[in-house]
Amino acid sequence: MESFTHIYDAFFIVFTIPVMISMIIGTAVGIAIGALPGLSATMGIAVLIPLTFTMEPLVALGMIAGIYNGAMYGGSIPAILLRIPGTPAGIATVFDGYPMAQQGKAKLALRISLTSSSIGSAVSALALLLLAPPLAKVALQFSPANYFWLSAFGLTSIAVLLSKNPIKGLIAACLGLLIGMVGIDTMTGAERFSFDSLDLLSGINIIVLLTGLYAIPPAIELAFSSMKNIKPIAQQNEKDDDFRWSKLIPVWFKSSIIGVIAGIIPAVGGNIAALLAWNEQRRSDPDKDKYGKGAPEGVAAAECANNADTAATLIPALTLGIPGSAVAAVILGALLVHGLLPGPQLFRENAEITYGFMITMLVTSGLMYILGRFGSRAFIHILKLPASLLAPMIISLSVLGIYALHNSFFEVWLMLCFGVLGLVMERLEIPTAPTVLAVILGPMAEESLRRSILMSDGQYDVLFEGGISWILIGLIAMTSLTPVIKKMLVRFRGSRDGATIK
Amino acid sequence: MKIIKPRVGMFLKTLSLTMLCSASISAMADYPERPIKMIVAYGAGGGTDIAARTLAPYIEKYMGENVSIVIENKPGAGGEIGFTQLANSSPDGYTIGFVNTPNLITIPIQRKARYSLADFTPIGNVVDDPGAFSVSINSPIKSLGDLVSYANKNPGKLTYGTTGIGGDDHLAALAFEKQTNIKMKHIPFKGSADVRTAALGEHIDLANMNMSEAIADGQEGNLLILGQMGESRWSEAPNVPTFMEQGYDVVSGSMRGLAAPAGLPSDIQKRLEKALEQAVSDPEFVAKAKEQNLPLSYMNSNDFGATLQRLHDTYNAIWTAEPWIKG
Amino acid sequence: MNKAKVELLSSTVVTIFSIFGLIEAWGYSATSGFLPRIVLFIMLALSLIWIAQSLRSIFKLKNQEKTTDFEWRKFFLIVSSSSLFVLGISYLGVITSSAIFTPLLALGLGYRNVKNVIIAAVVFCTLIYVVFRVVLRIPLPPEAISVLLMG
Repeated sequence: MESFTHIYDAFFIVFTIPVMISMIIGTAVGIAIGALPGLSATMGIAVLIPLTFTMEPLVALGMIAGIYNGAMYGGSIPAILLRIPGTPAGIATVFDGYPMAQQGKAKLALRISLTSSSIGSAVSALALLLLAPPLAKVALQFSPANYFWLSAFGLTSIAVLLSKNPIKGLIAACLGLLIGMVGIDTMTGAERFSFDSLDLLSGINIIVLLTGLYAIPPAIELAFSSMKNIKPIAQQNEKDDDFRWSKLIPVWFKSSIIGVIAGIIPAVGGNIAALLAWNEQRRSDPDKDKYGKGAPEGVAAAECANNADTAATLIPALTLGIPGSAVAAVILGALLVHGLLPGPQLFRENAEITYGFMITMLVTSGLMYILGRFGSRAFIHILKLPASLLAPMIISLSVLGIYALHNSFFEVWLMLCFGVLGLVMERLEIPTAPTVLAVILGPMAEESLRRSILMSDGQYDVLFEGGISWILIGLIAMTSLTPVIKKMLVRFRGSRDGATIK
Repeated sequence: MKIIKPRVGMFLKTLSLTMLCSASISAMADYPERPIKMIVAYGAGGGTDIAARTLAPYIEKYMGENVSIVIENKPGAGGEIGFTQLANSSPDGYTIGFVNTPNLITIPIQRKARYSLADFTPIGNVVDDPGAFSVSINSPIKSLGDLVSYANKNPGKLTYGTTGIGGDDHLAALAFEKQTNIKMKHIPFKGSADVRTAALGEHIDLANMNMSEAIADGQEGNLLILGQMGESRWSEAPNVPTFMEQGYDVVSGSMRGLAAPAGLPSDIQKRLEKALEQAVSDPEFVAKAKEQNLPLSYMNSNDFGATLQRLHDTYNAIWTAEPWIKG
Repeated sequence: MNKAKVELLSSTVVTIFSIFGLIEAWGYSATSGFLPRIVLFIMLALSLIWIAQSLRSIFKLKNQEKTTDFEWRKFFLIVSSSSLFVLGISYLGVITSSAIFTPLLALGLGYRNVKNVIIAAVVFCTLIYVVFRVVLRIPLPPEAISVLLMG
């Protein structure tokens, strides 16, 4: 096998002192970037590219690999401790991670998230290393109609996030769909809901919305003395030895696969991967009610999937030159800076560095585990900070992070407005998760639906052609109908046994 | 000839101008005495950004000792945010920026923008990336002639993907349709990567992308490039015939050049122009540009300005005849 | 105000919002406006149901418990100081305004240990400096103080 000799050769250039050091720095920086609200891997790598101009290619790429993997994991730390997802991909981690912290199991939750993230990254890196060329073909199979069903499948997870009053949850989802429509309509070039504002023309950035809705309300609530209970008790349960890690193995297995597949499909990023995996984990577990209330499996599924997305996103990027996400696009830029032109020739002409880069993705997933073990001990001290000190820090970090995103004060003000909106929604018991989900998936659903209808001259049957579409339709039906059927079965059995079910 | 401009911006500009004029006599002698800001109207890590960051050190080199250029990304609204900021900066030589066609020109045509072409002093053009038509290697279409006859037999059936409404790819396709009297179906995408994915997966019949975006797949044999829209063949793709050679009068591309706000003192402009010219012909930069598939095409300030004006007239005529954005 | 009345008020706000949205979306072309109009119709219908729900609980005397205390004083303190902070960034620079904002808001929120506040502010500003300036080298607005000192 030709690729194995390349991998063997590449090992020698990866395990050199400069590359190792850059990987360690990169991973540490990545975890920090991920943990800070408003900063994401995309931005971290983008601003670091100019600094890597003068570096050796593999030293630069090792650092980028570390940032990428580290940031994906880092996002889970504030998600668990403070209910603030550090990156968009961390939103599904909030669902179960934060309740765990409230129950005094923050340490366990952090360990589960770290272990799951490392496993996800490692599986993903192995898929990239060993299976990249054959898997790349999957990326080309997806037609606009398939994209529509995929985003529709993701949107079904809104159904489980609706809270007590479904009306309010659905209003939140509609709001998200509308926010997703702001800006220039790709399909016609017309402006929608931009109100002649230059700053709204390119739409509302998901990081601005997420930071506003998720970082500001907890900060304000922390400051309210009557709401001290928002912060998980600093006294955390030290004993988590009785936790049976073996029950997470099937979760990791399934979520890794979901993450890798989601990563390969262009435009489906880690945030969608985490949501799909969490949704699937909940669907397949007989005890559905525990999800969203602190189920360790929920944390494991979300974190494993969003990290399994990282290297997999690079599969179409490296082999076909197709960046499936914003991060991948930035990484392609970094490759270009070092004279590495993505595409099949990359594996022939620059095989050593290409495989070296893939190996750094694998090595950094291990480094992340080691650094994370030390780091999470430090992070847990955040909980011991007094609330009135923590609140101003969260606010100023969010403001600076959003400003650094595009050097735009407009986005900072917008983020603060979303912050107040988020607080109002929480007080009215309107869930904010459906809004974020709809902003992530809505535009993809609308665009791909309209694109496929446009391509087929207005024929709607194009949506029901091909195997991939039917698989996705089947999954949607299964997810949305299982609870109904189950309820009916219970009622049927109940009436047969003569037992009363209330 | 400034057409529309917010009053506050105008006021600030006059204010800073008067303040500058008093200081300019002494300042001009030792320009530049502080870092020069280069506005890039697109996101960090994108094509324009990387080109700018690759070029900047060479401009620094030829501007003189201890000159530093700081790149500031101001992305959004297809470049309008960055262009507007450049147009409204003070013309003291400390703010320059990358301008991209056709966006620089089409934005004020298609919507009420806060800048116009007259608000800029062109410094020089760096890149001219010709447009191109590409098809999947499995497609029965093998030339532009095949394309026209296929479209004639199946009017309105042939789908072509572009990187968006009103982009150079879309406008070139409109010009091609008009010349050949064919009707194709436009499928807009979000970026060139999406167009390539759709073309490679054979979800669309024709991909309209710039040469730099199509060349890798062309060399690899995944896509067949039917023609390039430069006036002559690009040195990196000598085997791809131009549209002109095949008998279609379509010349189109996307240019990236440097500009400063209008009213830049001419000695500063000359200095920047000269430094840019030297930078673009620096062999080290040329080699880097080749690695990144950047089709270099240097133009001096006068030629660049004239080309921009000509493009403006062409696009304006297309828009008046048939706007590409419908209500 | 009790819970049911707050609900009635907010559902009315959402209804008005949807109507305004519909008016705005009505002008959009057929293909661009199709989905916005559908979503807004659904939203309008949902908000009307919400109004009905809250009216019902008002008449049936449900949901009458008082809303949990909302500390308006602290809320306005946070909102106004954050706004001043954002304005401060462009005039004073990032580090200077963080060094002012973080300790002052902490004290304003009732934290009384001045020594800890100062330590925290110093550590925090160092962290910001390291992350944004040293590691990421993001071009942030210049510090007014350093400009003054350097001349």
